[in-house]
Amino acid sequence: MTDADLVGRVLGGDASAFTGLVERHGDRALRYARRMLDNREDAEEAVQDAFVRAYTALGRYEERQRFQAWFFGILVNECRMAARKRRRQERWLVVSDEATLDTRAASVGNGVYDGRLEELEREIARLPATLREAFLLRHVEEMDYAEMHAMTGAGVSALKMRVKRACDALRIRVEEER
Amino acid sequence: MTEGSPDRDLLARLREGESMPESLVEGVMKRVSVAQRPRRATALRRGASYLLAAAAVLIVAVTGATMRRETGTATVRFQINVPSPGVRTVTLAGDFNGWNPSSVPLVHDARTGAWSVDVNLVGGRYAYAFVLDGERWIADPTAPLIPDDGFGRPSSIVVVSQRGAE
Repeated sequence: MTDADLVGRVLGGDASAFTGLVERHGDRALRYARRMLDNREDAEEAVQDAFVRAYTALGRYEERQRFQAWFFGILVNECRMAARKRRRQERWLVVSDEATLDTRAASVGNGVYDGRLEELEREIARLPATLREAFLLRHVEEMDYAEMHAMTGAGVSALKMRVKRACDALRIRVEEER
Repeated sequence: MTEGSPDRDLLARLREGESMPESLVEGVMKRVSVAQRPRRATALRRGASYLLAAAAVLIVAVTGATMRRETGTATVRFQINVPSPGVRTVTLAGDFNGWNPSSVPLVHDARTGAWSVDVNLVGGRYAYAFVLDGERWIADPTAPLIPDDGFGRPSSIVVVSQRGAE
């Protein structure tokens, strides 16, 4: 069953069909939010808020869009709001111990832990928010630039520059589309 | 990233190792069960919503974000005079609409040159910005600024209280 099918069922009155969308897109959402917020608890809250907001706004979803890209537009803003709220509260640190521990635990659990991956996670956490956001959307969540423009409000050329600067800072070598 | 990128495998590993706990799925569905049921957007419904919003407007502001309090909510008028004559669209994005740059268009008054829209808000503190032609984000020149929102774009603040916009 496609995402559009599930959306159609929800709009037809079957709210339980929304579970399929949450289960299908939840892992990616949590992965993105944890890296943007450096904190598992804040990430889970942002993801939950994003799904509830998506549910109430589902009538505005258009089938020509990828559901994942539409939903990430909501998630990106939830993460921005959460980061802004937390910055007001505590002037949070760039890298927290918890973020490092989360990363290591997740990697070990999947048998892919090694020094380079852990180092990369730490470097991603140190990136300025704009660069981290653009890098994660492009090279981890594999959004195209038109989708990124729609969800961030930034121009395509600015986004490409942010991704390039992030890759340079992370010493990641990629071959970008022209 | 494209095929053949030297660090393709490393990036692929960044996509592993995260799973949404069942408790979080249950938490979402619990909130969904009491949330307002979504309805398919139709042209007729959009038109009806617009008319209702227009009917709810009780005050006309001169500039910037001003408001009129009703029971628990307020109609806030967001207005801006755009100096650039070539601008074709102005929209409003903020905490109240998930920073969606396409959901709240402002209407242009050719006589005054001002762009404006009225939005119903519950009490609270909201950051917002205007978006010109879907690309250029600008803060409200008449409202308090947020020094830095961390994402490279300017934004302003409006506070909706029981006494009025601050």
